[in-house]
Amino acid sequence: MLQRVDTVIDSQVLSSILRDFHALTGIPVAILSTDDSVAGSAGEVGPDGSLASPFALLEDGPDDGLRADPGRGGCWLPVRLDGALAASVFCRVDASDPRAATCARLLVESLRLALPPSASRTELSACLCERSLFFETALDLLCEADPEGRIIMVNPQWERVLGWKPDELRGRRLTEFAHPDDRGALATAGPGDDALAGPSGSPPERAPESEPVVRLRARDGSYRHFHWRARLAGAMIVAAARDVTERVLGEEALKDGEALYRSLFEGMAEAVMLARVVPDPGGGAADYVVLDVNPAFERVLGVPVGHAVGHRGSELFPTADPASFDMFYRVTESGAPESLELYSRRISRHLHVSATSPRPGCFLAVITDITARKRAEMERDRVLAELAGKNRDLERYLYVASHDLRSPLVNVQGFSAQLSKAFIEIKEILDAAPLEPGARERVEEILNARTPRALGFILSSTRRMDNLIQGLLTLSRTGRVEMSEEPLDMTALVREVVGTMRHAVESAGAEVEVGELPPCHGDRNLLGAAFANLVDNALKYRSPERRPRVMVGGAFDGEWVRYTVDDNGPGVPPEKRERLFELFYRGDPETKVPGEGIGLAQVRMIAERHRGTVRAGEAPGGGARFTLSLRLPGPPGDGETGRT
Amino acid sequence: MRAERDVRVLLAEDDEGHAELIADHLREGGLSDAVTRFRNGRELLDFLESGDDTRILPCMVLLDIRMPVMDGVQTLARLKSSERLRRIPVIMLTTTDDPAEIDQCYSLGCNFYVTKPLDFMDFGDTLRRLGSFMGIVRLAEGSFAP
Repeated sequence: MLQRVDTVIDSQVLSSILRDFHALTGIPVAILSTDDSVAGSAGEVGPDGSLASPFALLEDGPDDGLRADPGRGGCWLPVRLDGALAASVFCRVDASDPRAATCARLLVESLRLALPPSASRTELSACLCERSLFFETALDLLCEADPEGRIIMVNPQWERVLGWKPDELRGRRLTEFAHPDDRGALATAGPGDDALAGPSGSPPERAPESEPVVRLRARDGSYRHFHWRARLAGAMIVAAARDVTERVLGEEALKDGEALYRSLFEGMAEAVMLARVVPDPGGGAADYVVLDVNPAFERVLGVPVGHAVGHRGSELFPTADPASFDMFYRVTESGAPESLELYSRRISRHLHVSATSPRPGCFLAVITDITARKRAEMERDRVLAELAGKNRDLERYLYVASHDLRSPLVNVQGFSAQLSKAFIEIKEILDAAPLEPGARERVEEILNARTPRALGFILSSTRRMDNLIQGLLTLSRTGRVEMSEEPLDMTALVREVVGTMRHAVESAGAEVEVGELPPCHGDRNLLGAAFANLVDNALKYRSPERRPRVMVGGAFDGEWVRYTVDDNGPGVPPEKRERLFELFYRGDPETKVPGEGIGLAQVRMIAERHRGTVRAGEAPGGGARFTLSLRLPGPPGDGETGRT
Repeated sequence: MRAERDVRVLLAEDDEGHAELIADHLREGGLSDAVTRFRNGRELLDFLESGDDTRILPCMVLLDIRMPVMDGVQTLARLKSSERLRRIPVIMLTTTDDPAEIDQCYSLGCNFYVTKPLDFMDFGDTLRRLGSFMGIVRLAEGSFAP
């Protein structure tokens, strides 16, 4: 059963609410007091606000639902306070019209707010809010404010999003929470704007077409972005705010990103061209239409921006390498980036062109002028070829010279040997022949002492000269022999080399230790000869006080592999370390060590042919250390190959 | 030794001294009567190509490598590409022992390669043994081609 509640609404306030409501909705409306008397009306309800008769259905309505009253051409809605009937609102509108329910409820809310404090309107609002699951669970920030824009009620989303507790908001103006620049936008956010902006003013004719974005201050002082919608509902402002911060920030980031890319595009030194591929129906090379180019495009290719955009590649670059058209077509079809280098006869430049496909049917080409690099490379190749040619010539001269030098030696030695035999024959003849006293002594002195001595010098000198020439020939051969580079197990190779030197090692009473060596890439014969020379050198230049000990080791060092041959000999003084590798250099001129000063020169030549180095230094313990450094093979296609 | 006397030695050598030393040592090896010397490969080929087959009957050719007009390697190539002359044994003589050069000579078909040594005692011995070998081959096969 319905319980009657005595309520007092100021008649002026009631009239104002009804007028506003009617002005806003165009719906005639009337308020009935609980005693069925007309408390107020607006529209066509009646010129004096009267209604024809009391509402018979008033007493037995079970709930707050809108009830149709076809007899009066409208519907009515009871207003309740704390579950008791307070008043009835009559709207002359079809109950099935969706506007009816909304309007009636708006009016009810207005009335509630217009109720005097004794009716505990705050509690009523709170009660209504709490009952509203929608209000509780809405993802938007919902808010009710009085016509002054002072907050009456907020939903929990305010605290979740902005951190404000309802108690902290209640009674404060909404505008206090808006960003200073957005207070205007907050005020134009709907029919209720004037109420927000201030107590006076008239409602606007219509709502803006789309909600403005306003920034509301969070409890921590930061601002978040919201779509803002506020409506006047009777004497109350109802506002909803939707958090769009992420979207706004995302859009800003996008704008920033676009600006960044744009400035990159405008500012880069490389020419950039965006184009759409035009497939050739005939199946020939495809063409393309330029969609956009950057300012560098003109600098690099000499085609003004205005002239390029909208034109076909075949018109702009009629002499271009067809390979570029083919590449653009492939990249657009497959989406896989590609690049190529080409020479433009039109502008006499070398260009590097890389292409990607940013979207179907289109490609983006980045064109770099590599003329300077190309010319430097060509110059480098020319100088290298010239140098290689000169080296070949030198080695050939060395070969021819040593060959021709040896030829006369053959005669000197051969005929000296004949002379020796001839003198022996002469001596036999003279021994049998009668000679004057004195003459025999002179002949014997010549034949037994002076001649053999002279011939001895001739023969030993020719032998020495022959050794020197043989050394030159060996060196020349080391420089000319065709290299066959392969991966080498250096431990096995060096152990094999030392094995072939067993005789020299044993006769020197030496100990040679070959550790585990890193593998490398090189010519087996040449590197074997290099280690044979280094070990032989270590055996020869030994210290008389110690048993010779030779250690061969090795390790990786960055892009190098370094092999060391250490001995326990007298070592090499620092000032002699570089000269050691010179041809015919033999250190101490008085040395008794055999050799012609060829070995280390050959080691250096072998190292250089492998693009490596050999250096002399000091071994731990004071002996000599020879370090042979070889470059590890580079990645395939780095263009560096051995001289052959 | 009797068999070797019949072997004619054709020597192409531009260096007078070398030619004389070689001839001396061949003489010591018992081949003295039959040594004919040419100053280059061209002269040797002219001799062999112009005469009848008696000129190529038991003989062997000693070729110096570095010679003017036509060097030893060219001469070797010509000899070995001739149907008529290819069976003549050829010994290359050189002052160097360049492996590339040795390979080239053997691939062209030379039968023996001798580095001109400074000690001609060894050289004479080598040629003597070679002469004996050729004599044996000739007697065994009735031919001078090894």
